Amino acid sequence: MTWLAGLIGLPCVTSPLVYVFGHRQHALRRIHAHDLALLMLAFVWIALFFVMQAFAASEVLTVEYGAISLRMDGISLLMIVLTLLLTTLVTIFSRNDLVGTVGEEKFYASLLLLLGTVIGLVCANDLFNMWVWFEGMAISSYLMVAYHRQREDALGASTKYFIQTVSGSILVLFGIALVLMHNGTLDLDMKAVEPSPLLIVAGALFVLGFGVKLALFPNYTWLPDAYGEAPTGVSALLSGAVTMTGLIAMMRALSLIIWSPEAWGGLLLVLGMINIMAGTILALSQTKVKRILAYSSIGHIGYVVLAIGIGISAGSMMGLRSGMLHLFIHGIMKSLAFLALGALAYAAGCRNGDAADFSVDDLKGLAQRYPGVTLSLAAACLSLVGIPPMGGFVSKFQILLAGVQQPSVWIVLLIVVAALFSVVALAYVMPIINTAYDMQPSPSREALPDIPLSMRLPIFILAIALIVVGLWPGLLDSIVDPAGAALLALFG
Amino acid sequence: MPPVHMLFVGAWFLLGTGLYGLMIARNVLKAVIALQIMVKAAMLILVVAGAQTGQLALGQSLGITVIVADTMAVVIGLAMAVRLNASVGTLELDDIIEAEG
Repeated sequence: MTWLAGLIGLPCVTSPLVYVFGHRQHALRRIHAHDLALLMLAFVWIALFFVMQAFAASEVLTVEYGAISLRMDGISLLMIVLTLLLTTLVTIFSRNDLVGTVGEEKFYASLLLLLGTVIGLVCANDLFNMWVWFEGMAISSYLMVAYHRQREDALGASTKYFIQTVSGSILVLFGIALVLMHNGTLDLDMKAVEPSPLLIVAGALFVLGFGVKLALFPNYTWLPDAYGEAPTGVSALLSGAVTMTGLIAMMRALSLIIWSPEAWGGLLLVLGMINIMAGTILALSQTKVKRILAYSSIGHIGYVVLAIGIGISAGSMMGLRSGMLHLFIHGIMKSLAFLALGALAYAAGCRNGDAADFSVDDLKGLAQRYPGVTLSLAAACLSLVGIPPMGGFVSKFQILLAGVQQPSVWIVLLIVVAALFSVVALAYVMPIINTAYDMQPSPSREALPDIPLSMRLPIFILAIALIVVGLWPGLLDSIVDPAGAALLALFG
Repeated sequence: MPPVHMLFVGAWFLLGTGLYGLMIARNVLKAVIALQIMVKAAMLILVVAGAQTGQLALGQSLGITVIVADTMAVVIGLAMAVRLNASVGTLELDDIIEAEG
């Protein structure tokens, strides 16, 4: 399939082009790196269009180059659509957010590289090939987290992220070596016939190693710093899509490990539950809005992992499907929250990464001056809690529904606790909305400049998408159903 | 004990050394060195896995790919250390955390 090869190769190949031709001092520079990146993304969308047509006809697409084989299934499609959508919107958003900062061309080049490596990672059909994409993805994310390099906090956050991610990927390599030792091959289609302690150790290493990228307990400490300090657009992209690729990689790697589904499912259930509790409780004590949203990401990762745990332990298609649906909707609502917050912080005068210090109190009364963007932020926040008619309600409700249908009392008990923590989430979201809608007239707010259209456009697209998905969740069936089926097939 | 088994045990020992170093390191450079020890352990175990399954060439090619990916990562890590040293004036983690507040 040449279109699939194009879809994977295009962002990686065009990333250096954006860097070279978008460079400020380049003699041939005729076009801003931002516009060049958008042009390249348009080509990627065209490739995706043809790939989706081919996918609708054949369910699974493969492409082979010698020993390297890439394979696109339902999970890959879901992640590619989500990542490409968010990358495009973040590129549009970042124009005004980053204009005039040092190294814009590097930012857009890394963004394209990140997109390319995510697409490659979700399509990899070989464990080691997957690791290489994974490492490439991590490298482009370090660069973007440390983008505001004059900020000491940003450098510190990126260093922390670097040390944790590299140690995680080394553990994954050890797991890969153990799988090779037992299976004799790293092909993801070739499963071993009999269980072995070697494989169980490899599985534990995969959970720990990929768990760093996924921010799964106990390796989530890098996440609040990295999301807090990264440029707002990058926080949106990382939390919305990139972090979740750790989950996809983990599920693919675990599918090689022969062990009882109940055991893996149970492990995921427990880890997901701890993530929900830790993320929600830690978010309560934060005052900076970006950090609140970052901690809420930890909680939502927990919901996705919980849903997949239910699905695997019971072989329930509904659990897996609801997990994938929540993954997609969380991508939309969390990036909406980050982008809307970033736009408000920009309007209030935050430049060069100062949005990281934007606290809840700084939101005071902004709803009067910027009703549309503040309403979008409020919608995203309510969706994070799971209030109808937002998209977040639909997916959370389906996870809970999948859980209570299980015969096991323990799962039902976990679901009840998860639902209660969903209510606790209101406690960190309400201060944001309340402060923003503080209706006391403040003359200083009236003098603030307008939010540029390039920032409002992605926010409104995401806000409309969030409400439409909440009202007609069936719209997503065509990408969520194949993803659930592919995930079920991994553990079939 | 056959040499391959000794190397297998040695790789885990090397990983443990690196992990221990990472835990006690209070300096960014020392942490990067500890990570490097761990990466070397991973390369060794990949080659051992190749040798044990009779595909030594495969194991070696995986090891070489790891060198490439790991070099890129370590260059970025060291670049960040240079930046940190320039802006905070130290590479000691305790002082950096204090500077961040």
